[in-house]
Amino acid sequence: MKKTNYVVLGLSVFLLSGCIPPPPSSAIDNSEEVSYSVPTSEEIDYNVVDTLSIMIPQGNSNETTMIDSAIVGFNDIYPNVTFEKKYLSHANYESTVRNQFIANTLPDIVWSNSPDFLFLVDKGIALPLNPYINNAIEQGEFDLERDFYTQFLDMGKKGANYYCIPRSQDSVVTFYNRDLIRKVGGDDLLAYIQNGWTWDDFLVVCDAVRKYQNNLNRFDYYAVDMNITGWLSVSYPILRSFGGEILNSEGELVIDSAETRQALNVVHEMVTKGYAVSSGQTSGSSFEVGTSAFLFQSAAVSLFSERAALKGKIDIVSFPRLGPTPKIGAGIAGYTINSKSTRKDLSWAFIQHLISYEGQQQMADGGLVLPSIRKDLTDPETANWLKGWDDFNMDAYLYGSEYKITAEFLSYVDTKYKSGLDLATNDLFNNVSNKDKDVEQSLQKGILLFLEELEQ
Amino acid sequence: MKFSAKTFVKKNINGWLFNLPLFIGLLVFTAIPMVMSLLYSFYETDGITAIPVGFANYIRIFTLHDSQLPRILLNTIIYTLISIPLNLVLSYLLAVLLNTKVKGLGIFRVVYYLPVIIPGVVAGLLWKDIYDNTYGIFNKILSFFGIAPQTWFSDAKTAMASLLLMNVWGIGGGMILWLSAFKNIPAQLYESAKLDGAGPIRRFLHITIPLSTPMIFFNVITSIIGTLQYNGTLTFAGRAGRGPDDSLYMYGVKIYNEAFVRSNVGYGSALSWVLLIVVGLITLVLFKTSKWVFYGEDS
Repeated sequence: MKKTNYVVLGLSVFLLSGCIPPPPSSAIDNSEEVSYSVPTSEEIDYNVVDTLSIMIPQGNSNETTMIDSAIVGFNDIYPNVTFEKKYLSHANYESTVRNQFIANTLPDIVWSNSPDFLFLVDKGIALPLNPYINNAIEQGEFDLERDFYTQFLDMGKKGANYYCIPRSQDSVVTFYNRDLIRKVGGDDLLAYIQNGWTWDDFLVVCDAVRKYQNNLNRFDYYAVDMNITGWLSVSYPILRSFGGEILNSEGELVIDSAETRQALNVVHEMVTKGYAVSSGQTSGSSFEVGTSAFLFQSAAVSLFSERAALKGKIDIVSFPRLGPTPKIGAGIAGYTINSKSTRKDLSWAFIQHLISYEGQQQMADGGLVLPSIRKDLTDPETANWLKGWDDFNMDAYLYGSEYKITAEFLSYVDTKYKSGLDLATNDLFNNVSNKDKDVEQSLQKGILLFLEELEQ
Repeated sequence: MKFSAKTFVKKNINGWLFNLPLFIGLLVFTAIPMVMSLLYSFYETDGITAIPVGFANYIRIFTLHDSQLPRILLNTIIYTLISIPLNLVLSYLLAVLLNTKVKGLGIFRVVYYLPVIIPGVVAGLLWKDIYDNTYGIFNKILSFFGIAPQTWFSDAKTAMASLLLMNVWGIGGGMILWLSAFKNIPAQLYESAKLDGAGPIRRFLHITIPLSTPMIFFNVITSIIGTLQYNGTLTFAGRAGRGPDDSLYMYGVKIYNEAFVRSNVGYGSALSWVLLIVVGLITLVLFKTSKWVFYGEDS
């Protein structure tokens, strides 16, 4: 190629670069409530003919059926509104949502959860919903304190603004294999297991299970699947139960504390005593196949209750109270409104229906077996989410609302740090869950990784 | 002859139409994204909002201000320096073996090529199982021979070696290319050499190797490009493809993590352009020093 050709090519690229406008800069201030005008109930056209698009996570058939049930109920109010469901893989959640938002193909209503919704907030993808909520309160359609478990609504907030409206509560509970524990220590041992039980109670049962398995030479069977090395909903509350914290509200690393060490030692003790498998080793037992006694999980009972190895053998109980300030991992899954949507009012109408008494009941009919966020849906006689689960201690999900926390430290920094902080936290708990590793060395190594991730 | 635009269009319209899908594809899926990424590399952007930062992203890379980069570069260099020669030599030797008259040759060729047609994600998950500390087949084989089980991907000390070993599994791809090169070597040359008394080693050294240098050259270049871009660990290594203690954290994984996990599109774009420049320079150097490649008597 001649030199002039290179010059022409370079110049073309340069000029072409100049032709493409840079993406717009935008900043979102959540220190104050956002306000904009929304229609009053008199202004709403219930006969509007339109199609709402809604994003649903792929691979969760329950989410589809529960939304379908809610749509049927919604169509009683808005008979001419149809829905277009779009699915996305949760593994690529952020990049997919971002790309669809840029390409203007993001649905009107977007499924999200805590803490993923923070990404939608930081990128201006999610619409602040305060004007709609305030309007609904003024119109007497609901009252936050009276009708809802507000700590769960607050998990969908950033600063002063609501963004993600939860469709249910997600709380970590302890699944336990009643049959196995009865074999280990009879009803006396089972008596320890009740809502509000303590970590010491939990350790008594773990110890009995350990001895039982040892007597059967099942040294690679363990009492509990702790779910702690890859899930903040277990690790972070344990840290907080002793007063430890990862970041302060200024986004500064504060993990190097005596409280953190106490929490990490508790976790390390679980593996040194052989109650939980040491990281790097593979357990011969698992709750799912009926060979571990406990599992920390937030899933619906229905996920495990029908499994051949567990049918009729399991129940749930609250997460054991630990440390001076017990905490229970919690979170939300729910829906946000696309800030670019041209059907914001109608989208809100659907979300408001989801959290209404009727909407919650309809979703439960459609397969939502997690606790409702409504306070008026706790009676097994009337609440659909409880129906058919009489044999289970469903109060476990609702126990200790004052203890429930989400991974709030992630909201103290830009969402670009989320994956790194998540990874560093998991690394830390992975290392302290290794019986051959020293807790202090693991913490020091963890601190370096946290600092590195915060420098990125 | 006088140039007529009408005649020119009439004469070439079919050719243009046949080329149009490819042209549009290249424009939409290659040229425009490349130009956009060049533009983004001068911004701190997540693709939605953007702050112009000039050369800051590039300065961050070249001054190694990103504390992860030294480790990532070291991993990538080690992986490239070992993986490429290892795979080239092994696939070459395998092709030489399978170029001889052995019974069941076709079966061997199919068996060695099979891993190449298995999708990368599936292969990654398969190897994750093979390397499992407790239930993996490798540790079971080792324990059968009384050898202590290894930690494979789960320990920083053994992760890179495990990855290199895993990649040997795919040498069938290179083998096919070598075999095609061998098939192009005229049989008369071997016959003449035989008549002149050259043994198999001499024929290999003086005919097979020199006449397969164009393919060696091609394989070296494509391997360097592919290896420097490698991000296969995303599917099996854990910790967002970084491996234990970042022991498998490669440059390609870093680009992916910055652009798609951290939504740091500007920095990810700058990293991509630096890689493009590095690959371009290496390719240029290889071409400039390619006198050893034998393209025939005329070359």
